[in-house]
Amino acid sequence: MPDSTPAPDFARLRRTLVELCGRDAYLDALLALEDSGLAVAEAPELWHYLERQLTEGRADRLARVVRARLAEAGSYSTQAALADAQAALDHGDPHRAETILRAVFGSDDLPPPVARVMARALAGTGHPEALLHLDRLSDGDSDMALLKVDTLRAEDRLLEAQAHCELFARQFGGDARFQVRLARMAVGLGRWDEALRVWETLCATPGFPRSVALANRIRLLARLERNPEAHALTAEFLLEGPALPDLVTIAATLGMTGLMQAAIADAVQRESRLPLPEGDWPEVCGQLLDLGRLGQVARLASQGLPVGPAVTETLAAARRVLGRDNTSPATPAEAARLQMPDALLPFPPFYAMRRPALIRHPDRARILLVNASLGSGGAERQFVMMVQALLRQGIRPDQIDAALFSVSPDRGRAHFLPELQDTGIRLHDLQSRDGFYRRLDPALEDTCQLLPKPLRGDVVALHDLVAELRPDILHGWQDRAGLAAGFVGAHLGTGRIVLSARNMQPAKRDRGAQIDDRRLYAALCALPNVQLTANSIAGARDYEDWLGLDRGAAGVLMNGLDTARFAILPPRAPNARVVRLVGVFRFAPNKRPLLWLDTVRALQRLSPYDVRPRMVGSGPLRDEILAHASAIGLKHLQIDGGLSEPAAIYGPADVILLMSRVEGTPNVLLEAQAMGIAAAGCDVGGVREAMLSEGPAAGLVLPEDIASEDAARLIQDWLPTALAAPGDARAAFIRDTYSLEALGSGTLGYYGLEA
Amino acid sequence: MTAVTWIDTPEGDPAAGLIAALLPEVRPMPPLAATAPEDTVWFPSHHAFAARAAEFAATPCALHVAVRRGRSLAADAQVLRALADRLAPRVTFHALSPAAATALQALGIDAAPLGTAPTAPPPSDRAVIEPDRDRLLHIRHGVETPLPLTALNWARLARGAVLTAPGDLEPDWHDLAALASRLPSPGDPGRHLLFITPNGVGLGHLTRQLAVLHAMTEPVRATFWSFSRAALIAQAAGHDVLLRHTAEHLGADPSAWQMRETEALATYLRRFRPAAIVTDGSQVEPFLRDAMAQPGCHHARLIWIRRGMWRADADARGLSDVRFCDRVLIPGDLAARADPGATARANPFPPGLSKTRTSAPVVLSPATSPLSRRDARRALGLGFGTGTTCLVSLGGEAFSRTAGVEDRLRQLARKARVTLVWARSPLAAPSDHADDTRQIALYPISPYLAAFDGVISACGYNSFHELMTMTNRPVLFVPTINERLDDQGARARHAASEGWALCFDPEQGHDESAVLRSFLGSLRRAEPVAGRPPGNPTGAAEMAATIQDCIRGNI
Repeated sequence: MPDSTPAPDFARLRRTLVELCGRDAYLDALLALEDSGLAVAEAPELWHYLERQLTEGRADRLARVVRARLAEAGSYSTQAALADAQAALDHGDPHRAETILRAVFGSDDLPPPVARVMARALAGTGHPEALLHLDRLSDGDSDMALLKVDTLRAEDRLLEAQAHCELFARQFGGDARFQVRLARMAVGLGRWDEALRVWETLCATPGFPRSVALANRIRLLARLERNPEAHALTAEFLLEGPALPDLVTIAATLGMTGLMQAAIADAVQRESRLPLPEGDWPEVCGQLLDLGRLGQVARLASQGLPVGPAVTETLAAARRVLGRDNTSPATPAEAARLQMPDALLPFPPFYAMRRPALIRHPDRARILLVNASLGSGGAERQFVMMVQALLRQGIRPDQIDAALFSVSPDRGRAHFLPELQDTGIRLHDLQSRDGFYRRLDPALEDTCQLLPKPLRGDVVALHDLVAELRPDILHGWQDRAGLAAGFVGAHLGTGRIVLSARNMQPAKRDRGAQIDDRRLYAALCALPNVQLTANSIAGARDYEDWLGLDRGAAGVLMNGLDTARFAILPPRAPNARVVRLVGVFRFAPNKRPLLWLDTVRALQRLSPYDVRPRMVGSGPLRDEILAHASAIGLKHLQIDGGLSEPAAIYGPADVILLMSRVEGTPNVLLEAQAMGIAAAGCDVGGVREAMLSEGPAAGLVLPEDIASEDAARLIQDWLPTALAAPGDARAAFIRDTYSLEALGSGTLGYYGLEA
Repeated sequence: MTAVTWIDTPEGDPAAGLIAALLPEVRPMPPLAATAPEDTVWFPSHHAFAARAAEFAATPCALHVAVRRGRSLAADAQVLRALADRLAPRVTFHALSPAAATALQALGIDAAPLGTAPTAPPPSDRAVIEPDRDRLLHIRHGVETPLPLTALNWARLARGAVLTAPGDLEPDWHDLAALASRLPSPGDPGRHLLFITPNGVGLGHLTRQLAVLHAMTEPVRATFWSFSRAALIAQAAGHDVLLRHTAEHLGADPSAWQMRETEALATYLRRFRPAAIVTDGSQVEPFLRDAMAQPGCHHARLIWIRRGMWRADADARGLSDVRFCDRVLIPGDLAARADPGATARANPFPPGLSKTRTSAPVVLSPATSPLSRRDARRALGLGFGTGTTCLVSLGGEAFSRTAGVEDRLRQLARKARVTLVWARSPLAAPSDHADDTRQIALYPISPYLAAFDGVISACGYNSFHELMTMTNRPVLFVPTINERLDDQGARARHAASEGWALCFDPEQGHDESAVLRSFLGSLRRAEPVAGRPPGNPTGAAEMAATIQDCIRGNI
């Protein structure tokens, strides 16, 4: 039977398509084409026309449908392929984009538009070829140049990225994006002042959003603990009428929770009349989830705000983990109480039954140590010391793995990497670790979504390694790594988990902290296979008080010192008038460097000795220190930085002085005394314990809160005896108390291993 | 343009209610404020001020900011000083308490404490602030009532209770408690009463409210916030009536409707400041409670007229609303002994702010004296013969479950030579009846009862008490069965068991023909019914006196 369908009127159909696309009725246009009964092969030009219109009209899904139809019909043009790849990139699927482009265009001699998309795709997948493409494209193309910088940054090649960026910044003079990258890289490289300068410039750059530049300056100043400046700028920032996500960031940075809540409440009230720009609510909710404020996010979602699919998924996970009733706060107060990770705690009772602590012979135990990085701090140095101490106890290098969240050299996180590598243990850089093939179990995956930052990322990164290695002992070093290790170890039933705090409780150190770890710490400590340690008796008692633990619940793992590296200095000449006084610390507010200067200046005034001060260190307050020293008329001040050898740091000193507001066990006091140097410091944290307490060589413990004049008088009273005393007693005290042997055997004890 | 004092109203912050009590007149600041230069804006929290600083930088109005003591106060203070410098001289800082003022001074913020030191003796009740449990614990003579933390305006709460913050709470809670004690004494409350009239099945709520209003011994101004069209009766009587619509009537989303209704009532309360709000219903409507919690809405006393005889299967949770009221007035019920529901027992919910009074039955006293039979029949156009006449007042729903009973009644009445006079709602249009049906529309009907030889009536609170106390003619109660209503069946059966009336209740298996025939037959005998309760119940007068005393703060 002949087909009775009338032949389609092409011209009319084309007019219809033009008319429908002209008024954005894309779906109707597609249906009109479908309903015409024309196969794609019969009228490919109409289908191509429609595809172009859909792509230009950003009707992405329909455009993909049409391209798929064209491909099925063997009429898949290069233009369609490029559009498909572009769409894939826009949807965060660089792998798909790469596959399409390679299939259609191959890998070599790509035309410039294709090469651009390919470069973006490869950069998105971290493909090593990305930079090759970008090298070719970045000359004269600011987008590609920027992508090149970002690709290098993503690979943590900050110095290289910075060099290129400086070049591009000159080449594309008016493009502020390069200045922004330079500022961010300066932060990554620890070049704070440089970053601040760039943001200051951007503040005054026409066309660049001033509130964004101010926000970045405030964050930097807060990080540098230059709080008065940060707060003054915050007023300026608020008067600029910042975007809500920026305001939330700044409020969180400064610990101004009330401001954050008020701003969000205000935006909620206005939403019906003055909605936030698209994407702001999802971003704000993401920020709140990063801070553990699950209840607040649940309430925002229940108020009908456009929180976005990712947040919706997280809330669905919350309902699966906590139940619907527990994730539907009715009032702001209820919402405020629904905090992560607290709502997950205490751990279920069966966690206490998992894998009881195993008494294993040391030569069979597998140990996984975890720390955040190998930066140049005292805690990182002690991390290396602990490994050495364990090796001295007969643990073999192949029994020890060490996981680090980041060891980026450019970011200064690899300071002790060579020393640790020298020990022969296996190292795992969690940031660049490949092969995350082991999926989290669904319940833990849900739980991880709910955790605040940085715990969320730390747990996910560490879980795979712990699941793979199945260590007998999991040892987290410092609070951040300790909590992540504890969380993962608790879920995976690790036999022994040791959490080693290296300072006083977090609440005393970081008063603006937005996340209170107390309940998680306490829940971990309540598990039978978890042992908390501190590196001083004072620290242990402090954590016990903070967590409500019984006395003695927190153990003590004293710092370890390789005393062979610290030779005793020759004795002073009996009648020497010059006293060389050294302060070795980071130039940061909690070390109270200005009080240190004032004290030394007061000592210079009242002491018969010729007091010669020297500061060793670096940090954000360096300029302020120089200005203050000059203002108070301090004489002979010498400032040194970048020293690592004990002889260079302490060699010329007679006395070491610390005036810190908060300390754990200060390595510098141990090291100085190991060389026989007299020590004085304020009575905070483990300072008192770290000083020889009896005899003429005893250290001087100053009250925690003391005026410089009073401190100077006490120091002067103490100095003659201290200077006259032989240094051997101090060195012996350090050798006996802080040996690597003591550290190693103590650690094995907490591991439950027989020495 | 008149200068306006705006106040920011952060959700869940009781400070706004307290601060508004210090100001002569405030308006809540809308999300997009359109302030004029001569306006004044109050921020109960410096956080909201900081968050909106950019908006007010452009408008040169005066800004008053209460600086709150919180964890980040040191940082906040630095930011606030810088903001004040930039907006000088428009910003004035305030502290919630003298202690807060001292703390702020140490941080370089000059902020005078709000309010004044109390001169009057403190109230005897206490309200302990328990933010961790999201509540206040109201304590009166050892009786504890948990109240949602911010469900009440704290300025209203402070009128009858001393707010206290336990020692371990953050300083801000102590400051709020201190401010609550430093509010000015309330002045003359005036004599304006606002009656909230729900949309009931009949005229019961309105009738009780009118009964109480008419029993006032002092002149008052009355306004009816009415969801019932019956309130037009009150309007005709010279009272203000604000006709409202329920969410159901509008087909509106209930939560959106409630928000709008709350806003509307709060606006009214701020503007007119009634001395008391008198509501009559089975609960305190959430919009009413929420409106009274708004800043500037703390002046009125809340009085709940809550009758008994709730059905045994009725949801009793509404009884917990007593905690939000100043007085709960229970109109006595002559059938109270037969009360089967939650209202027959002691209220399981604690009293909170309220005191409960049970009065004698409340009936609406007519403006005129009851008419004689002759006058009443003349007034109703019933003629002067000896024919037997029966009033039928069934409220429209009495026979709804017994199809055909109405027709049966007509047949039997014809046979018994009894003329039926059907009472219809005074607001309803006359219905079309082809037969000899006679209708009257009167309100109230009680002065005319002498015109009838008997009455067939539903058994709602008002009908029951009017008939039992205002006529000695035979009465047949036909209880209306409705989940929204009181237990009319129990009331009618009680009347029958006492010999006060007959009861026809199909749900009890009564034979309708026999009951109706017996009742209609009794009418022809024209014998008065003996033993009914005495007339002129005093409930309305008692309630009126309680309300007047409550307004004056005498109880």
